[in-house]
Amino acid sequence: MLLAKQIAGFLSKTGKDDLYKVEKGVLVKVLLNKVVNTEVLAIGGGGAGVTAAIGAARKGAQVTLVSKGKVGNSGNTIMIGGSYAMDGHSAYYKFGIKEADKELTKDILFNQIVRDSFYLSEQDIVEQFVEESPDIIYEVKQWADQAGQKFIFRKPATWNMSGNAMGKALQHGLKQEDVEIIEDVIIVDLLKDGDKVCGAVGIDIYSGEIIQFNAKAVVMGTGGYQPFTLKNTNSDMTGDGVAMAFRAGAQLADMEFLLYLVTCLEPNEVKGSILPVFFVFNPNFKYRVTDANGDEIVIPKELKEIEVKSELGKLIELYYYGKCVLEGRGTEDDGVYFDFSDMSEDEIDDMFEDLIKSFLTEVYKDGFYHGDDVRAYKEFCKKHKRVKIGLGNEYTHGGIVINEKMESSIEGLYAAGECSSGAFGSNRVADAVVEMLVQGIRAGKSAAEYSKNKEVNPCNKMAQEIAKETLRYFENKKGISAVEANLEIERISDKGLSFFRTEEGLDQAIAEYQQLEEKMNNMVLKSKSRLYNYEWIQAIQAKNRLLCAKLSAIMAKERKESRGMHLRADYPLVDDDNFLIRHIAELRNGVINLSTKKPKVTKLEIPKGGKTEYIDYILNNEMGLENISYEEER
Amino acid sequence: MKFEVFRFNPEVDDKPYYQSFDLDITKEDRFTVMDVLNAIYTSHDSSLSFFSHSVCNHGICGRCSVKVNGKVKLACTFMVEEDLVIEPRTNRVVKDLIVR
Repeated sequence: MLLAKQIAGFLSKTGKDDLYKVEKGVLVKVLLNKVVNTEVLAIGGGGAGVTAAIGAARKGAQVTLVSKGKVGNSGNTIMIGGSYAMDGHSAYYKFGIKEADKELTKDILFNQIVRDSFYLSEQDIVEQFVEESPDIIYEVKQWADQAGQKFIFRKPATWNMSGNAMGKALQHGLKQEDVEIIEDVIIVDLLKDGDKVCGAVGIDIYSGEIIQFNAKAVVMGTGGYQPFTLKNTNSDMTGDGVAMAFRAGAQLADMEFLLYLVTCLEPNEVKGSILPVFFVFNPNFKYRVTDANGDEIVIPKELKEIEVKSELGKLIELYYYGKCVLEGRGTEDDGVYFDFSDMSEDEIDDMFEDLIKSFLTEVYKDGFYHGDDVRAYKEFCKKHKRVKIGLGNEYTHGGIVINEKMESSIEGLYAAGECSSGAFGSNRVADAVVEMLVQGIRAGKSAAEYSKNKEVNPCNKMAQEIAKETLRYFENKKGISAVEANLEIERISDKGLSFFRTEEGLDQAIAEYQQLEEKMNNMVLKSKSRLYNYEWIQAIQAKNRLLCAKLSAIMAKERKESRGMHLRADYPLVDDDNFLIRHIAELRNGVINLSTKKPKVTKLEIPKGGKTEYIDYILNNEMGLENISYEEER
Repeated sequence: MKFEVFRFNPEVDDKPYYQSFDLDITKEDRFTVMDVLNAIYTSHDSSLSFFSHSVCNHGICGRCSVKVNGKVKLACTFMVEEDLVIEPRTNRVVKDLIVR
């Protein structure tokens, strides 16, 4: 015992007593450095996590909010580029906004979201979205005003804002509630007491310390996943919440539907910016879209009209540009060109200056979109007369299965925002911004109500096991690195999971994901230090990213039709006879179990069957939510 | 181009040092400092710590700032045109380019 005491003393002097301790006279490694006890644990520093924390705190729960980055300054929330909207009727009558279009009622918004989803929306979730969103939208707008942030009104009832301003508004709202905030901590896995979720284990990214969170309920507000090389989202989008919910036994759905947006491929410094989205909507912006050879990609006139004024532009661009790439006519990095060669330098100047002055300067500093220099981009366009544009995966429809109270399929776990599924079916219109806020606040309230009078046993044994598994990376001697793993995920996804999928391509992708999964059981780290070891963090994220990509490919293979953001080269028709269903995945005894479910109908009957050409479906089903006006008049 | 990068792991190093990396890039490649750090991390030394989690890469979050030739700049928007010395923003170093 004397020896143990000496060791303890030595450890204390050297500052290593947080890593090793003496137990029964033996020196053992400390696996868990810290324990946090709370009632509701909200995970995620964006709009879903913040509003969940606020919702739970207002119901009187003790709340802890844990974020991988800084709260209100991380995740996809700050990437909003961007606006959010409520129905014009509520804006006009409930909040007295006289410029709002009062003809756009809740019913119209509901019908449009469901129709534009290709009828895969869960209608009870859409009802919650439409009914409860005006209040939280208005409240967040007030937080923005109080925090001195610009949210600029546009018809029908939309506010144009930057992601940075949204983040600041959320921080302001959160400040008014009693919430414990823990930042720069990545959650690794959920804790379970029998069938109930009872907390989580995380890593402090800076110190490498491992933290056990004991909670009565957990809300996921962790965002989506992005498995491709081209990135237009925050680097956080690794599907952590979706993957850990799945490992904990929760059902996932709609993983095959990945949303693509026109995204800069060049010049290098703006690669990943979604600036070209504004070219499409701005009525003064003229360009021809061409393939790599300079031949025009013709979009029929009736579709061009839908593209410029409604949110279906995304589908039309995915279909026509995607087809060009599929036929081998795209650029070497799977893009197309926006061509300005018909225009003079003055005309290009005027066009960009109009975009900057009529829209971007409302919310960004002059000449910028976020931190990207639009005038430098303009000069590039003038010099080359054309610019490469790709299709970047910006949002994931799929994720954790929830009901209208944001309950997942397992007790004690709730989900909100992009990591959930069900609101938008196969094609998101309306706003992901609204989704995160309206589901977040509801999830927080539901979790707080559930937590009342609940007793939960701390899951110490499971926490130890997770910590041990998390630290195993440091002991691996041979294997692939996290960098290699991520490059491989991207290579497989670019080839097999991207736009216009085929049976053969998906089979190969699934097989390759599985081989990679085995290799990734033994990832190695170059640095053995726990201090800001990004390779370690990336290894953990890569496992989540791979799991999400694999489930996406598995569901994409099952869906032998084209619908919304899922296009199949070998099954080009929208098949209402067989695929008006959602695919569900669930882990049972370590095996992925697939099933299907019909979306719930509350108000809008689903049309009777048939097989339709994809483009005809878009033209003939009263689709196309017009969510924001970019015209001069406000 | 040549990049002198500040390195320090307080767990093993007695004092900071500078490590030199040669990257086969030119001004025309329009690299940002973040691209340079990513290239070093991906192809040369994955033990380099620089701001890498929750990166917006478009000048939004303001968390990736480092000293570039002595001046504090955002890594994700600062354009690389010449050889650079890259150092942490302050002297409160956690590891390499990461500060508290």
